[in-house]
Amino acid sequence: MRCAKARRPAGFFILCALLCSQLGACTLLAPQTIGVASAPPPGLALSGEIPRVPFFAQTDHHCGPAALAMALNSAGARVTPDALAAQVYLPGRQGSLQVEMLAAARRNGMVAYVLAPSLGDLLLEINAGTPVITLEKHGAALLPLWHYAVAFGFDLHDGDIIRHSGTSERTLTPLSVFEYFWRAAGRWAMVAVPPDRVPATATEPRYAAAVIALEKTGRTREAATAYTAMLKRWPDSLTALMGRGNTAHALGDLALAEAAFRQTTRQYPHAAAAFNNLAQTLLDRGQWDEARASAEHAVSLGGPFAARAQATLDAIRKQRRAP
Amino acid sequence: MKIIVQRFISCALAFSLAGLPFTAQAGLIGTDEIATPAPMQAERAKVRDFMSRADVQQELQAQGLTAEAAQLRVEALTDDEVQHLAGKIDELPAGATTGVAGVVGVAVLLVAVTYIIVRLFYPQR
Repeated sequence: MRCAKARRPAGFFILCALLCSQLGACTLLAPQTIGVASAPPPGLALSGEIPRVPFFAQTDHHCGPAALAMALNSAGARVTPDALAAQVYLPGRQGSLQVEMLAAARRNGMVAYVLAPSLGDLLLEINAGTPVITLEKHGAALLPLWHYAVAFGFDLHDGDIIRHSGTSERTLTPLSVFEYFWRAAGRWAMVAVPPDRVPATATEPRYAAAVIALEKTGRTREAATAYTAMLKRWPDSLTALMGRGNTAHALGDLALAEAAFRQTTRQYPHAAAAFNNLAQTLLDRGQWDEARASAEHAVSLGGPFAARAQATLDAIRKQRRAP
Repeated sequence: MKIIVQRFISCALAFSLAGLPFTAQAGLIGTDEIATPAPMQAERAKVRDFMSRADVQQELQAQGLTAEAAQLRVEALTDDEVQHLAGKIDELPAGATTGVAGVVGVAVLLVAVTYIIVRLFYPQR
């Protein structure tokens, strides 16, 4: 009796200490899990899972190609892990580098977008139907082991995230455990989306950079589609307006290019680059007088592109003199 | 030997580029230039990017890729990505493992942390 009496508060304290330390450890090791659980981001369902995300079991060291294959096939591309290994796997490192994962997604016609380092954003993307490739860091400081997996579902009620990982199809992991490894890898996560769809959590400047990368690496047609999709989400995006004109010009659709640059000059009457590109397009369409007027206006606006506009104007004048 | 020749050619090309008078070009202004307009540094950056691409291609080959594959893979990268890789290919994260061992590890860690805290504050128990 005495014993029980003495033990009771002690047991209670131990229980408290256990709870506190677990909570403390969790806050330290997985702070965003606590945040998402206590205050879920607006629009996030309590649970969700993207149906039919294809699973490819990784072979030795090939989690990069496998994860990428799952994301790309889910986005509508038809590509095998073996084909992707040639695009991302680095024999000397026995692994795949992050920027090559992005580059390979673009090579297969998708927009590669790196998410903000936020667990809430990651879950919002899954919520919107986009599987997320995550990088995780396992192993100790002296022997870091890096791992790619594909997250495609979650259940906030049970606190789980659902992933295809390594050789495990549809594996459930506690969110806090996942966050611990994901955090150790710098909270890096990417999505590969078809060019006609803008990721749910995308911001204009970061998505613009992702589409510019697509344009610069030669996927002009896909970039054109992506700029058009951008304008639906951000009708005032200068990058998207100019990008639509530039890609149309590159694809030989001068009428569309002219329309796009005209629209840009209306929305941005001080954008010298838009008047310059309109001038070049008009010249290409044989409208010399209008081209000259537009180039002159571009020069008069000054700014960082003044010299370029002057060069365009000179070229236009030269072409008139030597017909 | 082949690598030395390639390096020599890329250096020679880069220096010949650097020697050119950088006059402004007529024509379309690229979408990427609008996003980050810095025309004063743009030409210098072009030379640097050219050099870095050659370097990264060499490094990829040193990691076991064929010359052809390395070239294709460098072409798929943006200038920023090339800068990110240059000189760091052997130290940047390279995803590879199956990711099973770690989950067990963290569970052990959580239990250990709890145990230590309990022992620390309640040594008599």
